[in-house]
This record gives sequence, C-alpha cells and structure tokens, in this order.
Amino acid sequence: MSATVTEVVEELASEGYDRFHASHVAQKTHTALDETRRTLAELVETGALTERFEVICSNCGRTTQTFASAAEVPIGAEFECESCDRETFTVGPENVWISFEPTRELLVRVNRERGGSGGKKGLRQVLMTPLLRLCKRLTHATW
Amino acid sequence: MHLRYLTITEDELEQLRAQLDAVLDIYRGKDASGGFIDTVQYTRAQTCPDLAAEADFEDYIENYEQTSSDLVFDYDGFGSVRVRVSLINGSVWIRNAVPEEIIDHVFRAVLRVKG
Repeated sequence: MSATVTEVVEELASEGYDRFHASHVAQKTHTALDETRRTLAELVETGALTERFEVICSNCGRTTQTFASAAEVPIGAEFECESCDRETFTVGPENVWISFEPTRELLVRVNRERGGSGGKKGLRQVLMTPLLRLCKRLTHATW
Repeated sequence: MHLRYLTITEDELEQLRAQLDAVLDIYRGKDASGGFIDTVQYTRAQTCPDLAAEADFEDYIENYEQTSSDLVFDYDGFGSVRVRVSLINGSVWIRNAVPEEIIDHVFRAVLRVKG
C-alpha cells in the first residue's frame, strides 16, 4: 500500500532532507501531482512545512536565488547565472519553482515520535538550521 | 499585446521525440528530493542508440525533474539535426545550422504536439 503524502513528508524530514519538490513526494506516494500539491499546501498552513520560491536559470536549470515568499520574487527582473558565464535571463513565472522545507516543529515531533531512530541527522538539523541561517545572513550583511 | 511562454511538459516532449523520430541524446534534470545535488546532465554514450530506450535510465533520473533535453534526429537529404527543448520556458532551439525546410519540419511537429 502506498504511503500517504504526510507519511512521506515525515519520512523525508526524519531522514534529514531539508527541502523537496512536490513531484518527488507525488512519485513516492503514486499520487497525482495536483493532489500532492494540495496536501503539501495544507501542511504549510498547519505549520509542518514552509514554502521556498527558487528562481531557476532558464538555460541550465540551476537555482540562482531562493525567496521566502512569492511576493518577494522579482518577476520581470534580469538575473545573472554564474554557471552560464554570467548570462542573464528575465525572471518569469516559469522560472519560479516551489520547494518545501520541514519546519522545526515537524522535525521535533517526528524525532520524538520515532524515538530518535534514523533521526539523528534530523535532530542535528533542528539545532543547526537556525544557526546556519544566522551565519548566512551575517555573511551577506553589508556594513 | 501580452506575450507568454507556451510550456512543454515531459509527456509533450516524449510526443515531440516520437513526432521527429528522434533519440534522446542529452538529459538535463533538477533534483527534486532535496539532496546535495542541484542539477545533472546525462549524455548518451557512442554505443547507446537512445538514452530513453535504456532500461536502466529510469533509475538514473528517478529523483530528478527534467529541465531540458537534446533530441537528435536524421533529416533525409541533410543529416543529423540537434534540437534542445526546454521544459522551463518551452523553448525549442535548433542547435545546428539548418535550412528553412527543417525549421518548418520541427515547428510543425511542435504544433501537432501542442494541438
């Protein structure tokens, strides 16, 4: 019997995956992509997941920048891709891919429920992820 | 006048490949599972007639979303034609210099797929 979307999300979280796409979850659950997206959106509303909006290069597909909300994505702006010898592309809706990240709340719950088995990576992530984000912000801060 | 991109899905790419009687020569994908790899590119070995026809290829691309592919087909009287199809923005880019007739051939194939 196929796992549900929620079960797969919890499994990915406990294994330490810090972000994934809806297509990956849909593939694992053998569920239609639209239905998977709806469930993931519900998990975002309940606080189990957060959405991240990745701007991907039109040429090579690499993620150039990630935003915390759709409103922050600068549609129409010219972006530069370091992988493509700094060639530029105009950001359109097709360049924005949504990924989902397990929240601290989900990680803590999953690690508690699973008794820490296979969750060491996830627990480390619970502790390290906010610290890593702070370091990244400090690194990119301009004085 | 507002212009928008006409996208191409993975299924439509497969249909286009069939319409052109082309082989999959290069696959480019983006990781969907949140691992340490962002994108991959798989190229066909000289001994391989078609990446898409290889039984093991599905295993290689299991965790990836296709972003673009190079399709290669032979056009009678001309030779090998390489077409790069992007699933990001729906672009169809003929990579070698070809006569107008081949451009029309590819364009008609795209129209048949897109309906």
